[in-house]
Amino acid sequence: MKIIVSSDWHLDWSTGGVSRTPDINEAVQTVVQAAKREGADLFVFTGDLTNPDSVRSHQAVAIAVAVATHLWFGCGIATRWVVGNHDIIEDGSGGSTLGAVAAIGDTLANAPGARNGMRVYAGPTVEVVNNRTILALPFTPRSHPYDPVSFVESVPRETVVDVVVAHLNIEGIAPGSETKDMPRGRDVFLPLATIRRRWPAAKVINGHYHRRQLFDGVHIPGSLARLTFGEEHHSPGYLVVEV
Amino acid sequence: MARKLRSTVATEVAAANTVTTGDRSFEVEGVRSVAIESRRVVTVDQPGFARVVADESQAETYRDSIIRVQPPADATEADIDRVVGALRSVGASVRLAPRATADAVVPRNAVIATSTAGVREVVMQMVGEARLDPADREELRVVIDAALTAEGV
Repeated sequence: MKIIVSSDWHLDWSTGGVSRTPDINEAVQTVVQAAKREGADLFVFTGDLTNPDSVRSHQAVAIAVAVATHLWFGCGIATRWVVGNHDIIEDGSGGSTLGAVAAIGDTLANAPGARNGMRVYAGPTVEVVNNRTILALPFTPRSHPYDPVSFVESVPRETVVDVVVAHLNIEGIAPGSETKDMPRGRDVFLPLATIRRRWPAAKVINGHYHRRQLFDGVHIPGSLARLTFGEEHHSPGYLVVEV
Repeated sequence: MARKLRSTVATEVAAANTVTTGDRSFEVEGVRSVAIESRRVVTVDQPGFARVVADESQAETYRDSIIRVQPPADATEADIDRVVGALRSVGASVRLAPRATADAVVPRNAVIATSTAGVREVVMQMVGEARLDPADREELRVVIDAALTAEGV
């Protein structure tokens, strides 16, 4: 299975007073074209679409819906969306800025004979897609907390996870502007040791960090644009994952 | 939920296992990390500022970028206007930050740390240590000398 992974779009962001929505959207379309060109089986977004309370959040949601529907209905590529710390809405509802994508996905899932072309991972989830097992560890609001370690331990022993997709903190990584210039929410850590003990061969992919890198075996796609002056030397991009 | 902090050694080992990208794409264990074109976000201070002052055509390297200009301490208003204008002429979005803080006119270590020096001696030494053009320093010396004399110092 081939998976295209992109992350941390922050479509509502401004840099130096300049709205970044147009050029980040251009980068999103570049990744969408890559998914089609690569013949991807799955497109995964690992969190941080937009802050819910920004003036451009509606544009960000529209772009996400357009991507999800185009890839599924136009290209037959399913999408999965991991909730990030900037996506959550702390009103007790457990909602996120990915709610519109989730609503379409729920409709698809309930339609007779339809497959689940798009799904939002709003809570910890284990799902089989194309005979590959995905473990999702999103960021959740305080009203809906979970312990990542306990969840990983609770996965049945016979389940072999092939890919982990998450939007959590990683111990030991150098903090970047996502921590210094754009902090939001509490720290919730990726249970890397537990994951490695249970599924040493699993590919681990984590959003949240804006520098595209491989850190301690965790593949980090990074953001799709240089969002702050602290990211001047970043090299935005995406991942192509073969499972 | 409790978490364990990594030891310093473990953190250093993890950092040593980090692959960052520069501008390149790379592949590790079945995962391709692909770079894309992206709008530059740049801080222009020394020496970039000086390059554009000397040759406005150097601004071309910043075309369509989002720029924060931090003028050096000795930048003149004319230099700043020239640089900002040159950058905007190539489509860059420019935000002007305050210029770098210059050194104090009278450095702290210019003050004589002795109880035997008189007021006039201390003040005139500070005038001598002040970072001024020679002509300005002489003018200041004349003014200070007159002020001290008027006060009977």
